[in-house]
Amino acid sequence: MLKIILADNQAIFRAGIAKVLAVEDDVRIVAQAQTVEQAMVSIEKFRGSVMIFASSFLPETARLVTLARESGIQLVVIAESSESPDRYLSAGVLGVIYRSVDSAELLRCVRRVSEGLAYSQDSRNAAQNPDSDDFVGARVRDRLTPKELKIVALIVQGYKNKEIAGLLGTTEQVVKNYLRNVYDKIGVSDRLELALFTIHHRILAEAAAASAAAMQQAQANPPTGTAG
Amino acid sequence: MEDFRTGRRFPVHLPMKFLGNQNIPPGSTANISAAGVYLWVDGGLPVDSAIEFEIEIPAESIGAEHDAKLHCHGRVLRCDSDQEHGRTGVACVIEKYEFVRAGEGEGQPC
Repeated sequence: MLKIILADNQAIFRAGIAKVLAVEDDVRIVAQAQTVEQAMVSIEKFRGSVMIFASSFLPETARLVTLARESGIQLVVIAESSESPDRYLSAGVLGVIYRSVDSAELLRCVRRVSEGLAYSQDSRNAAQNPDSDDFVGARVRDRLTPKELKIVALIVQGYKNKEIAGLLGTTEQVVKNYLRNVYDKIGVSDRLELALFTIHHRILAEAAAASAAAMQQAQANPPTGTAG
Repeated sequence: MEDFRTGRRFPVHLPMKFLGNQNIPPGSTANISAAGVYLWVDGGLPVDSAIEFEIEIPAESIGAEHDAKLHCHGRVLRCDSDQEHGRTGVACVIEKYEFVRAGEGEGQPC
């Protein structure tokens, strides 16, 4: 049985990876970690596993590598598409994948690394077509409601909460509540990070814009009621 | 060099320009996080100097009809010379920001 630890501060990404791995009979996710500290605990607890961790844990890579070696854990990092794999491979991380990785390549990487062999996704492929296998963006898009998508669209277009409330015909507090839900679903902490996430995941930006356009069209052309 | 950043950096490449007294041509972003930005510009900046700049968010990148802008106040942390491409990488912390819609004046702080 191939044991996997998922370590990423973005819940949505952990969920995406878990979904891909869950269908494999010989793969089992034994732990999920949101912070470096949780990851450290999981490494010590689940010896002999493969840990997939986010590059946001980069400042702690040396600690992770040291502890992983002591615990017989192999490491796979999820790097950003602009990053070279060399910095990770030279630090002792065996596998390097990018957030655009597709299911087949993710599994290939995990299996190879579990055998103690290095694996690096071609970074040119990661940068060439980030939309084609953007399952993170797709998964976020699928989890957000039409109203949440519209709010995301308005945020990246520069609207303020008060203006969004006016456009949606609701109060500023309600918009704030929606935003809090959106932050939780995506795993971001503020509107700037939300905007950056959306711009980075074009598939989400397009869905949000389409949702906003549809809602605006519906407001411009309200359905006419029939006399009862 | 040790990396102390904890926020997620997005490799988002957007045009930017300096505001205020900075006599530096427009550049572009190399990556951005909620706390900082790495810029490619043509010219250096003094470390620890306060800067004001605007990052453009083109309409096509967000599927919108109009561009948006991110108006930022920040501080220079580091400058890296990229002699191969004749440019300078500038690492900045974002101390304050606000989104500005196309055609909109100064907005309210977020």
